[in-house]
Amino acid sequence: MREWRGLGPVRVGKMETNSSAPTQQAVGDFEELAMPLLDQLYAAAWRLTRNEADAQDLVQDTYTKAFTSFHTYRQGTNFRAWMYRVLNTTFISNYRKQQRRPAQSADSEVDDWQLKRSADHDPVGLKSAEVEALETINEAEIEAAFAALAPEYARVVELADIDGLSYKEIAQVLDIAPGTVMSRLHRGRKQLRRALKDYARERGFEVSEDE
Amino acid sequence: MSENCPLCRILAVFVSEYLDTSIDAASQYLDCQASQTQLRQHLLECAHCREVVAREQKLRELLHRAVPVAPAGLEVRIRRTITMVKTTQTGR
Repeated sequence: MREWRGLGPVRVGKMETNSSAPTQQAVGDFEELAMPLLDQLYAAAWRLTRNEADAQDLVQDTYTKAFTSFHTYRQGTNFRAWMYRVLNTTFISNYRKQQRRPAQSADSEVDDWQLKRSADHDPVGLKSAEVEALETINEAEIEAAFAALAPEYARVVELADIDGLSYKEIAQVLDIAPGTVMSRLHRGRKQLRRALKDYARERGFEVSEDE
Repeated sequence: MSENCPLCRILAVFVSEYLDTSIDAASQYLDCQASQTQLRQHLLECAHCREVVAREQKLRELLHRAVPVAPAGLEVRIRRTITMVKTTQTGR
């Protein structure tokens, strides 16, 4: 059976006993499941690579690897999470070294005490004028705000808030614990909000400092 | 918002988790000391917190502004590649 390095514990389903050579039916099944995800996966690839050509290559590699590993996909399980996981693994193995996004060290994990402390000091959130300020933020600024996040945080925020994956799906895709998903998401969203507020501030909007 | 209201403070920090309806999980993993039900009830009474929730929703909407769409031709390119892989593997 073809194993895909780095894919981790992808469970093998009933197609395991079949030859790994794809049948016409397998091609049809794969395309039927995978092609509707193209825009979503391309967007995710673009955010990973920050480059249109690299994003296209990453998506193509992802589909190729997913297709050749399709016999390891267990029917009835979450195909979208499986494809995202293939994308993520492909990116890590092929593209990470070329990544141009400046590295920023992330806090490894967020301890409960840290979060509790932030809860003690955290602000109330955006003030009312900030709705108007948020409306003025453009795509480039949103991208820049994402790019400024530590990659670990950016990934979970993107997967949750743009791609709409559940915590459980994100945990599967990134092969991390649900608690880690939650803590990274919490931190990442908070940092992203701060960055967006900074853009609003640069435009002269009055934005609270106490976030 | 009341400075002394613990639920206002909790919602300010965990508004995203509230929108994800994952406050109860946050209580487990992130030391959020409230339940989804408590916060939902609190929102009925607190205009300030309703606004916090509305703004968080607005922020989420904004994030979708920066989502690119797959360029024309990529799907064809992928289908062609899959066909080539299939041909290579089956020898047909």
